[in-house]
Amino acid sequence: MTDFLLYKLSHVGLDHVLLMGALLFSIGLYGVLTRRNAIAVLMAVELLFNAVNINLVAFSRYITPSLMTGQIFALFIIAVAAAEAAVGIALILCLYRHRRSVYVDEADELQW
Amino acid sequence: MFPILSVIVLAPLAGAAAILLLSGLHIIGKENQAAPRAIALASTVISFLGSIWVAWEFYQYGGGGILFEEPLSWAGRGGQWLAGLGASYHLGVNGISASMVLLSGILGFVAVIASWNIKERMREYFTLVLVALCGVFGVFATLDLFFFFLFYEMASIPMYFLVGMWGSSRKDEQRTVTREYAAMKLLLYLQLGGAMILVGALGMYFGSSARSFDMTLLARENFPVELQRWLFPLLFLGFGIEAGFWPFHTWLPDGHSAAPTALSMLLAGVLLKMGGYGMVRVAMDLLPDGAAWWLGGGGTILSKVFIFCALINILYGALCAMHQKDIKYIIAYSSISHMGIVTLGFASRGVTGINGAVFQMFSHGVITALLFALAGLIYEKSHTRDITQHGGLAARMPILAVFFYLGGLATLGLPGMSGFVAEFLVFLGAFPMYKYVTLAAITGLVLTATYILRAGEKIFLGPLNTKYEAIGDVMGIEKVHLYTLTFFVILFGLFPTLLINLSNPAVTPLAQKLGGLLP
Amino acid sequence: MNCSGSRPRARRLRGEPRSNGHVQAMPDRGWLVPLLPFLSFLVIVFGTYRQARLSGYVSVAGIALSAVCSLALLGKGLLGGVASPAPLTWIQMGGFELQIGILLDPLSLMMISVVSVVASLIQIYSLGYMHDHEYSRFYSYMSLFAFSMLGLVVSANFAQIFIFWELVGLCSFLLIGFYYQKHSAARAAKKAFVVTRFGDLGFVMGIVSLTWLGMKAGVGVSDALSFENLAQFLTQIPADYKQWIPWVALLIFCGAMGKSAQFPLHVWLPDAMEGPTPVSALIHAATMVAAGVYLVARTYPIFHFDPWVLGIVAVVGAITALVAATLALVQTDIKRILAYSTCSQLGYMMLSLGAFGYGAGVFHLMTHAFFKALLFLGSGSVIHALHTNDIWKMGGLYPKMKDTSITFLIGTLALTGFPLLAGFWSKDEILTNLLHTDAPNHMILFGLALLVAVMTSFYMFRLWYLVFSPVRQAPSGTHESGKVMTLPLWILAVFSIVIGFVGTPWANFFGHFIHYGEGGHEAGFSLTVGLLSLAVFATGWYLAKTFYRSTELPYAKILSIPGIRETVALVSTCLTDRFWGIVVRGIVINRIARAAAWIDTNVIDLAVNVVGWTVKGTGFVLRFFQTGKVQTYATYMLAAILIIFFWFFR
Repeated sequence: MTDFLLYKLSHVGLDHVLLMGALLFSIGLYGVLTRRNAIAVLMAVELLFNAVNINLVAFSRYITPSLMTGQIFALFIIAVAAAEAAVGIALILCLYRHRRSVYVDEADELQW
Repeated sequence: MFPILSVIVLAPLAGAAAILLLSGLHIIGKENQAAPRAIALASTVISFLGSIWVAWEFYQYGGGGILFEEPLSWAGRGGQWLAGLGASYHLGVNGISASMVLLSGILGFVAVIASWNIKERMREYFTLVLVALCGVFGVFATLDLFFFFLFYEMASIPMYFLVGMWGSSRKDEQRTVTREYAAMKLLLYLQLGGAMILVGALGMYFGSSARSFDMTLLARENFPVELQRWLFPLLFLGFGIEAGFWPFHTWLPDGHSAAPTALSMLLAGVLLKMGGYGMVRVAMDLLPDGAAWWLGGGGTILSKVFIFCALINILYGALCAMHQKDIKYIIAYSSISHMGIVTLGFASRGVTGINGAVFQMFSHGVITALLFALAGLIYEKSHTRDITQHGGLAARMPILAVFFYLGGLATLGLPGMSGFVAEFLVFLGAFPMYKYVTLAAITGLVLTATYILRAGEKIFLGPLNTKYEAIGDVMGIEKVHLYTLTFFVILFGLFPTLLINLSNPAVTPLAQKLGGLLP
Repeated sequence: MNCSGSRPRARRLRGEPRSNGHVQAMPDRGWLVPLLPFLSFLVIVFGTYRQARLSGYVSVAGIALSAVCSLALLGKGLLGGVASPAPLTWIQMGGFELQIGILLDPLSLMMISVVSVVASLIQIYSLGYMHDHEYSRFYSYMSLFAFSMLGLVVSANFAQIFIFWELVGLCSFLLIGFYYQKHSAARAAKKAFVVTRFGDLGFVMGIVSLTWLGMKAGVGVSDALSFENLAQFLTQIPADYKQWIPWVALLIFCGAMGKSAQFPLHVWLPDAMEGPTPVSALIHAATMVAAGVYLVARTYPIFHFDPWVLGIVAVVGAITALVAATLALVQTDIKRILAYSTCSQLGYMMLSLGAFGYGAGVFHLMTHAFFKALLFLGSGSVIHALHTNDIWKMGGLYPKMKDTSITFLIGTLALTGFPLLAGFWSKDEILTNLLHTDAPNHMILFGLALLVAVMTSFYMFRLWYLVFSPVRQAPSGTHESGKVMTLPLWILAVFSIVIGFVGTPWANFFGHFIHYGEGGHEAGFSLTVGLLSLAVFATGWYLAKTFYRSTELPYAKILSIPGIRETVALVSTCLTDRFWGIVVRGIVINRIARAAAWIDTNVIDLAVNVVGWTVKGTGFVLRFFQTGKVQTYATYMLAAILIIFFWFFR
């Protein structure tokens, strides 16, 4: 048991990384669900993305090290996430211009 | 060969597109009435003439096959459109479809004439009408179930907007119906029917070895009897809802009555016929064993259900019509009654009965359109649809009265008009199969006479209601559609062979498949 | 049907020989007879509608030509040389065939002659009776009627006769409602149509079941419905199905009952008097109402197949004759008296047909057409002069209107069976036949017939004394109608006198010409019947004379005591209209139809709306979960994912 724990603590393995990804995801999820500020929500969404990225890279690294699919996928996601952030911030900017507020709970009507 | 069916089907769509395009380019302004009207008229006239040509060619051909099939090169399943789905744009008419195409041609034309005096939002109105007409033609002309369904939806969805936006509400002691309510009811019922049809069509698609929606292929498919028994009621009822099948008929009076005149004509004239046509052309033709089982051949109580519903349709519709005050409701309930005769004719499974039912579809389409046109004209002039508020109008509007009585007498099956031939053939065909049901159905004749004559008497006869001293008769363009429709009512009443020769070659093999009586 | 025009041509093209081998100078253009009035109908509707006078002349010309053709055909028929043209196919699908044909046999030849002659005279009369501005509409209807009626008479099969049957019904509807601005006329027209339709239901059912029997016999539709082969077809029906033949006959008889106003479907006929008087004369006395009798005569084999059906025909006829005669006794409207009289006489004909008296019934049909038309036209002349229908407001017209009075008297005598006039011969033949026939209960029927004859004599002379007898004072300003009206009266009067001589018991040309089966069943002369009928005539006349031939009218006062007439009227309505009023308005319209409409709105539609409301209610509840806040939705999503996750991996 102690050996196992020591081994786990001394060697960084797949489950460590996955655990970190899960923590990151949970933090991101918490942020998405609870933040009122739209920018904070957007940042939390970025956390979600990165949690996923970490997972992808980890799986690729530990399970199929010869292929680079996970890393490539992560790159794509980073690119898309950047685009998404740009669009998201543009939307938030729009929202702000209209309502003078970036609080998501205040924007609860489809048409206004 | 000249793709006449495509022209018929797509001419209204092209008209709609033209109106939209020209409006979008601000060539047709908001106040411009003449241009949308002219475009609509032109496109429906093209379809009308085309449909006459199709019917005439078919009359001369006089066979049971499919004519005007197009596109011919795709029929071999080579490079077909939507090949992956097993669906293709495949048009063609047999005798039954040809008569229905002719009916739609007539009604499309007269519907535009009847819309001549629409005041508001002309462009949108005619666009929607033309799209619906394209759907109607498509339903009758297509040989592919996928497109059948597509056209079916094209025909029914514009109805929602047309009823909801151009319709009229009603509020009196008998009933309160807003046009929004009527439109929603109509759409929901049509969609309910559509959903059942879709399930049936998919059932056939997945049950077929060819994985195809093509009706010519499906007709050759020998579906297992079990599957047919499951699918047939779905399809028959799905189409039946559209044909005003009891107890799924209540959309019909509300919808027809709330609709603007031209739309009532289209709804009763062709939309109901889409249901009847689907019953015979899809449900019965593609699933003959299921049809034989469900239409009296099964030996259980289930196989009598549709026949009893048909009987209830006939009598109940007539009885309801007797108690209405609103002229449009009277006509709508009479449609329910007459569509029951169509179902009875189909249910007889024999050559005489099915021919009679097809004839009845045509004849009822023309007659009821005539009556709705008249109801619209009466309303336009007297501003009420309540028959008890009128009285003695024949003195002021003799021409209208003559046409009303022509239409009314045709409805009650007066010989010399098309209604008589149809009903007579249906009764002759149905009696050997269902004696008591037919005898009971015949009593509907006297009920029909009662409500039609009651309406005529209340509106036109008796001393003139002083309110209407200054009321005027029909004139000018209003007469065109009355003359057109009456012409066809009398033409096919005197020379029923013109129509029967179309349908009979297609009906005979069908009756053989159904195990019905051959004369 | 105007398609009938091409029939002889089709025949010529096929080169079929004419039957009987008779050499004929002229082809038998039987189709001309109904077609000529139809042409005049078309000409009036599409051509001369604006020229009223011309419309009248066109119509008269059409029917007169048609009468000439009919008489020519009749003459040829008497010489034995008329062949029916080959029928034309109207509807064909596979083995199913409906034909339109012209059947020229003695019966139809007699009928087309009577119909066209009477119709011509009545149309001429109408030139004087109707107002100018009504001409076009009136004559278009009259022409259409003449076409339909003649078409009905020459029909060669059940389907065709039904077509024309409905068309004459339509014309009757149009003409009863001719003065459509009167409520009563509009309502009477509707009533006539609906009540006869009641009977027609049976007719349709009969036709439909006949084709079914034809199918069982392996006979095509066109043969099963054909009149010519009817007797032969009945023998071909398999034994198992023979039991249905009487029922078919009864169903067909229902149609005849409606059209010929037989009890209990007679209620429309008196109301039909709302139409112009020439219409009453033509349609509701001479021709259309006789169509029911004609139908029974035409399809006699099917009735004759089982005697109990004929028994029912006879009983219905007897009841009608009696009830209608009773009702005629107390009417005050001159036309209603005649209407009930018509009804009663039609019952007489049915009675005779039902008691195997085929020839006698048809003979009475013919004679009745003439003298009843005469009586109606006479009453029309009176109404034209006085502008009232009430016999109590008339009186003493003889000095002022000699022509009308004398011809009316001739008609009355003919109807009541004064010796040597038309009615005498036909009525005697009926009575003699009733006395000697082997029909069941024939003595009871004979007694009833005699009773009806007494009543007929009474109410007719009552009418004559009240209206024409010089004892009473004529209203001032009364004058005789014009020549155009009196001339047809005289012609019809002559017919009423002489037409009976074609069927005297000693030289029964009529019976030889028109008979059922082998013929020779015509009863000979019976002195008993002759004397009895004379006695009956005298009794009725005497009673009427004592009651009504004085200015004081002592006995009539009995009837005018308050209460008595009301009682009589009440009894009569209970026998007639009241019953149908309860059935149709009370039960069908007010109960069943209302219930159906109520169910439609409050049960079926309610169910539909309940479905709608359920959806709406569900939506109402669910909308509280829809906050519009993204984060709420994301929380739902998370919760759902977790639930699904734990569900699958528990």
